[in-house]
Amino acid sequence: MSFGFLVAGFLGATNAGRVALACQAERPGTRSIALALLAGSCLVAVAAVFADDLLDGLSISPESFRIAAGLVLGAAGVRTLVWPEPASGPFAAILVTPELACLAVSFGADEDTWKVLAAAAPALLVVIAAVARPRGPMALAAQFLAALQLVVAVALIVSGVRDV
Amino acid sequence: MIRQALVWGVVVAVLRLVVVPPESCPQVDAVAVRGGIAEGTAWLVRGQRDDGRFLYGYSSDSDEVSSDYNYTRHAGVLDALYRAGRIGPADAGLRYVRDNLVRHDGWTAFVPVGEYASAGANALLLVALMHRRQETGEERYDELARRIARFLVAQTRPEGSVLQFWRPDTQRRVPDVFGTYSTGEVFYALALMHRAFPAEGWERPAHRIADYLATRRDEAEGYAYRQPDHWAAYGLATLAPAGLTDVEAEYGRWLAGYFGYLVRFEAQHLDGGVIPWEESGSGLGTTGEATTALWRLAGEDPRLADLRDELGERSTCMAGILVERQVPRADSNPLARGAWFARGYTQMDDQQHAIAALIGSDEVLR
Repeated sequence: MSFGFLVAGFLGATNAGRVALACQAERPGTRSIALALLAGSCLVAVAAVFADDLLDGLSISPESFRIAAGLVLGAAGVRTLVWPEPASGPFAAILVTPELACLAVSFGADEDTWKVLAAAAPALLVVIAAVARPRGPMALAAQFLAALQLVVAVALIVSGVRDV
Repeated sequence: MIRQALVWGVVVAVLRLVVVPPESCPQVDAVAVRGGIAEGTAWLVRGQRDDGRFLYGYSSDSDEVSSDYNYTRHAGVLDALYRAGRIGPADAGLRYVRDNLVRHDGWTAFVPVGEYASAGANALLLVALMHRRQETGEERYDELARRIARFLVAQTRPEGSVLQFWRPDTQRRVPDVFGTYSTGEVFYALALMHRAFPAEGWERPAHRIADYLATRRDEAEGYAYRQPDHWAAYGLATLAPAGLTDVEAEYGRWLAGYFGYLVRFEAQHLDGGVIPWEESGSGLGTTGEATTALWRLAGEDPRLADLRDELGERSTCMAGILVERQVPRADSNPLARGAWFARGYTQMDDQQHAIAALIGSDEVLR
């Protein structure tokens, strides 16, 4: 997988537009925002670092999990395309989503950990920027990133089916 | 918070139960694989009749044997027996073939009474003769092989498609009828001819068919998606030492992905699960055959070398599944012992393909 593909996957799964919408709706404090970023970063790091062990323990090959990750990403992407607003819940958990976890596990199983973490960094920076200045057509941004997520989802499924 | 936890729970449960159940690859070694081959071939030999034909099918639920027969499968079974070294029973089956040959226009074809000459059946017959030659070192059927190969070339059109039938009554090819597997079977047979007789030019029609399979077959013959063709995998592996085109190598990569996925799917459904699934011996076998042929191809062609280890793992996994799914030798029913059943039924090609897959896996495990 190319580095650009990994970045695209994280941009879609973290969906800065959706986070900005949640920020606008809930007006979280600095502590909640910091907690959300920390939780998202930890989720990606843990998933990427322990991906091989997790899939070994579950007796799932990385190729098969890629299909599963693609399906979860696809379902979440469709949901965000139709309803860009995030589901209600604590803002601190806004990035703790099944799609981000599945994506990080899938990428972590296929690629070196440093590469996955490096690819996640720009996405988290975009989220920070969106949270810091939640302005502009955020719903549209959320839908655009959801469309990107769908493209990544399809690519993951196709790759999971076509790989040995 | 509760809603979020619920979403996570549902996602994890659906993924685990439906999308990614555990992949189970039973442990297997060369001894178990050879035992499986011996029991599978014993089922075929026990069911062989005096005229050289084989028991076609058996339902364990109703304890009834099938009175059907299929000549393409007859030829396929001969090949499995030759490859397994069971020369005597295979030669007995070959006698039936030799009693039903038609000669025409410089070629010979196997045509049972009342049937059309089928490119698929004759391709598998030629494959069987080539494997007999390898096993025994005998050249007594070389002329017959050349004549059958000429029939196959006569059925092949300029763009590489293969007409399935030739009618004895009209002495003409049947236009615009193509077999699902016969094109790949003819490709494989001609690739084997090239390997045995490299100076005779059989590689030209073989490459022509390979290019058609790789680029045009699915659209031209009305398939909605690209066909997984294990015969094509065999053909590519056989032609590889003489060199493949980039298009053929890329086709090999596509086939490797497809059959690798099928092995993973079978491994996920070996123990049942939420979605009931029981693949036939023929289905499991063809997947195993393709996987092993592509493993061989990846060892020959440096463009595909990156696939070799994973294909070896998938081949071994499929061997474990096949050995586990085979009716054990301790079974008291001779019509069931050594066979592969699905939904209480087995037929000769279940054994043919499962045996061929195990023969290939034996090579991987060595």
